[in-house]
Amino acid sequence: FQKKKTWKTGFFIFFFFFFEVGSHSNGVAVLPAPQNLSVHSTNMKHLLTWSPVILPGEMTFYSVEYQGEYESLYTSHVWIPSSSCSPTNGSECDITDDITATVPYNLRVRTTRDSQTSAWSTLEHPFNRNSTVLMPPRMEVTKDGFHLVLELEDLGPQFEFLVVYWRREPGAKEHAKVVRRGGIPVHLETMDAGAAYCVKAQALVKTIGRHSAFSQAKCVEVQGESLPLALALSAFVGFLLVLAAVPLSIWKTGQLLRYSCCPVTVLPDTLKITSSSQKLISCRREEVDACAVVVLSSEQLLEAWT
Amino acid sequence: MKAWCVSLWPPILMLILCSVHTNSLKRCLISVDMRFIEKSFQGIKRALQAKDTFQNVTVLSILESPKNIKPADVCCVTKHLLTFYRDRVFQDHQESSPQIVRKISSIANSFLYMQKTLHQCQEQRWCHCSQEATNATRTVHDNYDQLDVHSAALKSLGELDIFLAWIDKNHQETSAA
Repeated sequence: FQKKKTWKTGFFIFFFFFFEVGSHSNGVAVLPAPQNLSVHSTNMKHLLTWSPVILPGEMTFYSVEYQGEYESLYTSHVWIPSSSCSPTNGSECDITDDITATVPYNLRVRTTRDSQTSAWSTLEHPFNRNSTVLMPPRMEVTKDGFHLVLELEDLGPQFEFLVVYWRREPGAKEHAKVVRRGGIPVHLETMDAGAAYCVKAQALVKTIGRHSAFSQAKCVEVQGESLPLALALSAFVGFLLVLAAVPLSIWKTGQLLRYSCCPVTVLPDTLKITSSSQKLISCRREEVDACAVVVLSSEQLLEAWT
Repeated sequence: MKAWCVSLWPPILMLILCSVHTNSLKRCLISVDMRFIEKSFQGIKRALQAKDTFQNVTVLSILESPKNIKPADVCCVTKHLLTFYRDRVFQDHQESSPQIVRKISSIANSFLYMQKTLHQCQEQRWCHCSQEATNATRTVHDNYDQLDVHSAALKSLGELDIFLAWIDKNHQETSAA
């Protein structure tokens, strides 16, 4: 019985020291390692995520390291700290700037706090950027007068776009154009009046040899000729009016000038001698008297009236 | 007249075949982002070349004159030089600067991708290594061996712009960018 007791005590002491020493050597295995590592990649933006490690007290940090296929095959001990996540305090890391070749990359994360670190937690399956999910590109189709203009979203220098556009009528031919960069308005076509045009696009990534699905088609319509015709008619009528008004105003101006510069007195009708039977009063002797009698002063005239 | 025409036919055919072959090589590395690799190198070029103490030696001397490598030898020389960098230069180089380590890793992994792409592209095609092509790559190794390992690796890294420009000229479309 004594021997058994000694054995048990020995085992207990052994395991106690094992874990105590183990936990303090090189600062490892005290902190829990992050779990559930995964990479989500959309449109060549790669995000490494993990379950956060919840610990009481001070903030917890994480360190992210990667190695490309070259390192894993030829220098397997070499791991490179992530450019933006060594350290980081979130539970995700944008590794886009670290994954720079189309080869499989190994990724690992560990918890750090002060001088303590956890064991490394490694991504189960290496990540290759050719597995990124490519979404159909967002685009804005507008008309600038008769010009069909397209602006695609800017997805960075690795993206090109194949744009397909057509006139919306039965049997219309499709046209294709490669747009090298998004974020800049591009002229596609000069449209015919009264017609509708549709556009769709897909994203191409040469470095991984893949493309997205086509976006939903967007259409624009150009107004028919009726409006311009009405404008033309109005303009023509206006022109005719102006054409008629000009000689009229010239004639009127001429008349005004004549009256102001060289006025001509015109005899009123009552003083005109005509060949009619109506005779003027001839101022002979007897008529002079009559004429004289006729001449009254204004006061007398006024009296006569009232 | 007929005999004269017939005698001319094989060389013309060979010329056409060679031209087609060379042009098809140009598309093999079309998916490689050479601009990005060149940009990665430009970021560390000055730091690397500043440490190079053997200015009168050029490891990639064979690439400096366009006449040295025939179009038919381009495929073989490219494969051999990629292997040279993968197996000797990148592994022999000791680097402490994290920024340079990161850029060299980017270039090394891009070269690995280039090798795979070239291999797939050439699988069904002819990528024969002539004696001249073998001699040319032998020259590169001999130049490398003239120096001590660390200096040779550093110098070869500093000459990456020569190699990248040569790949650009021989493997990419002339209308690129």
